[in-house]
Formats: sequence, structure tokens, C-alpha cells
Amino acid sequence: MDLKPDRMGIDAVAVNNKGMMLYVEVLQNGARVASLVRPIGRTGHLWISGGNSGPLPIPLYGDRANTDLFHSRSGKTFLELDRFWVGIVVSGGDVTQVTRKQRPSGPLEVRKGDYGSLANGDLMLLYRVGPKPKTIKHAILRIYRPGIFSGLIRDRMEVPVAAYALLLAGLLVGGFGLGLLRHPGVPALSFETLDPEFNLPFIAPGHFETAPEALQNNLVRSSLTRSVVQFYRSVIAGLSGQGKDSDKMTFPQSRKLASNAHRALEHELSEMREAQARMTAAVLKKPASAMVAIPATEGTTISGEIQRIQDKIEIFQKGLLRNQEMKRKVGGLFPKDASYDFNLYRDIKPGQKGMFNEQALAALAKIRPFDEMTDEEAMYFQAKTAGQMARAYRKSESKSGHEQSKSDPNTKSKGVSLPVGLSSKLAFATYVFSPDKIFDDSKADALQGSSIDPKAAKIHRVVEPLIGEIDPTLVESTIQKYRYELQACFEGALKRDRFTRGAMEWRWRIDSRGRLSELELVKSNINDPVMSRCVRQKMSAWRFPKPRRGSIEITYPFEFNPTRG
Amino acid sequence: MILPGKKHVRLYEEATDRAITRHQDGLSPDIAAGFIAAFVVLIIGLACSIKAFEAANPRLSYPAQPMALEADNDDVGRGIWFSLSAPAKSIVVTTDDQKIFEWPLDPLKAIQSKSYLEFKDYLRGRRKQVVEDLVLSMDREGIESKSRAVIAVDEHLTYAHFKPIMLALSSAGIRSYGFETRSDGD
Repeated sequence: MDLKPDRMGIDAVAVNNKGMMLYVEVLQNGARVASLVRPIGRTGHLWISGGNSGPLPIPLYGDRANTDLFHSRSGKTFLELDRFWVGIVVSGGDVTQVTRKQRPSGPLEVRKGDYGSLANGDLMLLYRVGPKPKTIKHAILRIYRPGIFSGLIRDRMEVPVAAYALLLAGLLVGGFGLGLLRHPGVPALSFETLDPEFNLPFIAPGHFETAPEALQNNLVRSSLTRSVVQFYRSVIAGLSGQGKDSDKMTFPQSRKLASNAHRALEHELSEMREAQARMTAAVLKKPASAMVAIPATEGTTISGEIQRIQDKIEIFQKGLLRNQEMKRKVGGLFPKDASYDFNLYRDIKPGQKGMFNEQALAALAKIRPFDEMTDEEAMYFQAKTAGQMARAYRKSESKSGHEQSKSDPNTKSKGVSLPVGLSSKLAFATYVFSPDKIFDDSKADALQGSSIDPKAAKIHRVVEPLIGEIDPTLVESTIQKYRYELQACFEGALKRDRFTRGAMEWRWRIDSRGRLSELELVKSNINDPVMSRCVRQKMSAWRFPKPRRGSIEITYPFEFNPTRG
Repeated sequence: MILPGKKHVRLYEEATDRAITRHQDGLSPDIAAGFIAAFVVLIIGLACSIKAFEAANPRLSYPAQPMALEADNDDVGRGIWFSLSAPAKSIVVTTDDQKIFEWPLDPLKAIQSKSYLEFKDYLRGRRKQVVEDLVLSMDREGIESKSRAVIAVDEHLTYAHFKPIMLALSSAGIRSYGFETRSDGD
């Protein structure tokens, strides 16, 4: 079969040569100039050529090197040597010497394991048939590709250091992660732990005023609001028949009575339910005949229950107030009773070290009201002032509702406040309307208009009653702490007029959260408005210790004299 | 260690040349891929924001169309509000404190479903909360308005669909309830 030399393509490979490769190298004066690896049996031919083209090119060499070497056809490869090549060829294990005179007759088939070394002038041809070369990709990559940690670790000496760093980083990150997992999170604020301005409007003043009598041992004077709310919650649970035996806030006898009453009601109701179920079953046999009657409520109604509990609490509190009144008449107005046990009314256990240690009691004794009040009196005073605070907040809350109802005489609401931003003219609050009716829906207009009306939602400032107390030394020390700020104002005034001197008397209020308000200049003989403004600005930022029970008013004279020298 | 041979050196030089050429040419930005990525991010962001809106106001996801009727406004209180709609083959109740309950359309199957029992418990919980609030504030004038349930029932629903709600209300002791209406725009 005659084959064209330029036809390249892989034909079927002979079985014995399967996977075998032909390795050819051409050396010139001992230096390798061309090499080639090709599967045995691939159709085509291999030749040495001068120049840069061809399968085995020899640069800078004349055309005389264009000489055929190997021919492949029918899956076999043959070596065809012209008469100039001399050397040895090994074919099928037989060594044959090739000289000018002694040459193999015709093409010599190369098979697995054959090799040869032939020379032609300064050229040398080496060939062998062997298995596929193992890929050298990994070797190259291993040499030239940087290692994974080579950027971090450049020397073997650095490995222990890196290991320690990794361990430390792991500990830190792991500790942080564990800490996050174990972190309890920010607990949700309960109603009773909110600031007074948020929960006092929703607690009746009467609950505070009768707290010492009603709560008895459960009164926690350090957190009066919390103990009052918890007590009334347990009262509600008891009167609703949901009180637990473990509840220590109410009397066991009351809980027992309430639960018995509810059990009796439940029994009665279950009988009624059974009768109802029988009737329903009878009706369901003929669904078209009648509608199944559904009872309005099973058990007490919500409004009835609220009224009942409110009535009971009102009677209870009236009794408590009468009791208190009688006690005062009979026992005198809070006599200094040495046998009165203060520990019964607060949460500090006897012997427990806390805020009422000797040092604290000595400090408290310096404060004026405690000099004149007995413990019992102080307790009732606290209850009374808390009630006054609740009343003040409640008044401000109902005032806002009253204003809204006054603006629209059609509404019948009495002190019921609307949601913020909604006009009282709205027949009902809805957020659902058809998109095609947006432009002619008066309610939607009102709703949208009300939300951008700055007058719709007013902030009502609550003025706390002036019933607070504070240790004057605390006020004095706070003023001393900030005094240098006023010194700066005075130095500014001295720059404007070096004869400036005199006194300023300021009055301000400190509310129960320690914030300063209603700061005013009472009198001053320093005629420098810039300095007054500076002093006002500095003082507005001052923070005082929180007074007890409510706001206090302070009047304080500041003297300004230049230091000599 | 493997020492580099001549061939290795040549391959390395070629690789270096290729790297230099690539860096000189600069990276060609695939604009289409960039646009697709930006579009995907936009869609995901939009979906997330819609979900956030729905979470803030569950009524957006299950809007009920209350009956168009001009009714007198008796009193606006902060009582118990929930809506009743049927977006698919089930009844969905969405409450004013962002809770969603869902049960089948068939009333007999509905009253046995787990979600319905949860709704009954929820109403009892709300009742307890209302009682506590009103007793703590001793507000006698607001009892009616604050203990009333206002229900926005979709006008496509029938009495049979509302029956489970009536049962739940009666079990919670809520006798006073009203229906939200809407203006027809006239």
C-alpha cells in the first residue's frame, strides 16, 4: 500500500506495539539539536531537515541534511537508512552493525525494545522504542510553583513558630465563637423594668399608695414598680382561676377560694357543652335544616372578668386605706418605734452585706429626710410619692387624649388616645385600599395627610413633682468636678475686660434620671452676655447623681474672682 | 530534590513569557457576566426587601378585602385585631402582632388542625394580656374598646369559614367583636 508522506493520522496500532513510543534524538557534535516522541505506527514519515521546519529541524545546517529516517504504514514503523549512516541497530534483540558495506536489506521494522545509534558526519541519530514517558508536569510544578505556605513559612525553622501562632489564633477565634454561642443575649425588657415615664402612665396610682399594706413582705423597696406589678399579676392570675400553688405573692386561702369557684364553673360549663354537642350532632344529621348555634362565650367574658377583678381590687384597696387610717389614729403618726423591724419590708436579708452596710447607713443618716423619718414613715412616704409620680404621668397621658377629642367634637372617646400620627377624624384605621381609589379615597388622603402633619403627634413633656431628695454633698462635689469648665468661660471674659469680677446665681432642676433642666440665671452682677451664654452651655451638659423619688430644684451662687499673680 | 533540566528551563521561560504577555494585555472584563451578576444581586436584594416589608406588616402578604360598607365608628381602641383571608385553598389569619395561622377551608378539618389549636391558645394569651393591662391601669372606660376583637374578614369568605373563628372567640371569652369595613370610595 502506497502512502503519501504528508498524510498524518493515527491508524490502528499493532498489538505488540500498543502504547509504545518512538524516541528520536539528533545530536550535532555531541549537542542535542532536535528530539521527538511519536507513537509507533502513526502514519507519516520522519526526516531530518536543515532550517527551522520539519519534524527534526537542525538550525544553521545546509540542505544536505534533508534525509528520510522513518516511515510508518499499516500501523508499523520502518527505519530506512541511506548509505551515509553507520553505527549499530538492535532489532528484536539482535545487534546488527551498519557500515558502508554491510547494511540491512530493505526497510527495518522497529518494535518494542529496539534501539539504535547511528552517525553521519557530525550528526548522530539515537532512537529507541519504549513505553510512554511518565508525565513531568508534577516535577515542573513542584520546582516552579510556590508551596501553599511558602508565603508564610520560608524556612523550616519557622514551622514551630507558625504552629504556635496557629494554635493561638485558633484559641482566640474558638474562644470568641464559644463566647458568642454561650452569650445569653440581651434580655427583652419587661414592662416593669422600663423607665418610669414608659410604665407609670399604665399603672394606677392606687396600686402604689396601698402597696405597703397590700404587699406586706413582698414589697421590694429598691424596685417598687416591679414588686407592685408582679403582685397584681399574681392577684389577677388567682382571681382568674389560674393561680399556682407555688405563687407566694397572694394568700393561699384566697387562691383556694378562687380556684374552687372556677372549678365549679368549669364543671357547670362542661355539662352545658355536652348538651350543646348532643344538639349539634342532631342538627348535623340534617345540615340544611338549621344552623348550629355557637355559644357567645365559654365561661366568663373578658370584659366581665376585667370588671369583676377591678371591683375586687378597688374594694380591697379601700379596705387597706381604711386600715391604714385607723392604724394612724390608734397608734399615733409613725412614732419612733425601736421594735419595728425594717427588714420585714425590704429585700435585704439580715446579715447580708449590701447597700445597707454601716458605712452606707452612716452616709444615709447625713441626708436630711432620714433624720426625721422612721423606717415605716419612709416606706409610706415612698409609696405616696410613687403614687404622685404615677398620677402626674397619667395626667399628661390623658391630656393628650383630651386635646385630640376636643379638636373633633364628633368623637365619643373619653381619654382614649389614638395611635400616634392618626387623625381622630378617621372612621377606622386601615392600610388596605384599592390602588385605583387612592386619589378619591378621603380616608386614604386623611391617613396620608396625618402621617406628615407635624402637629398630629405632639410630645408632651412631663413635669415631675418636686419631691425628690439628694445629699447636698453630692451636688457640691459634682459642681466642684465641673468647675474648671466655668473657669474657662471666666478667662474668656477676662480677655474681653480685665476688670471682670462678681457673682452669678443659677437655678436648675435635676429630674429622677439625673438630667438637668429649666436652667435659668437668677441674678448676676457680671454684665457679659457672652460669658452667661458660655456658662449656660457648659452647665447644660453636666450630669448629676440621680435624686431619690423625683425632681429637685437647686439654686447655687458662683463667685468669679481673678487669682493674683 | 528534582533539579531542573534544560527542557524544564525552556518550559519555565515559555510560561514566564505567557505570564508577562497576559499582564501587559491586562484582564479583559466580561461585561455581560458583570451585568448578570449585578442583576442577580439586584433581584435578590429586591426579594429580601419585599420579605422584610412582609415581615414588618404580615397583612401585606395576605391582604383581606373587607366588606365595603359605611359603618359608624363607635370607638377606636387598641383591642385585638386580626384579618381573615383565603389566598389559596386555606384560611389565613394574620394578627396585629405579626403572627400567622393557617388552616384548611373545610371547617370540620379546620377545628382539628394544629394551627387552629395554636390560634385558640393565642387568643387566650391575648385575653390574659388585656386583662392584666386593664387591671394594672384600673381603666374602667376603656374596657369595652380594649377587650373587643376587630376582624377584617375578606368579603369572598362565607359564614362557614368564619365559624371556627367564632368558636375560638367564644373559647377565649371574647363576646364583643366587630368587623372592619372599608369605604367604597363614593
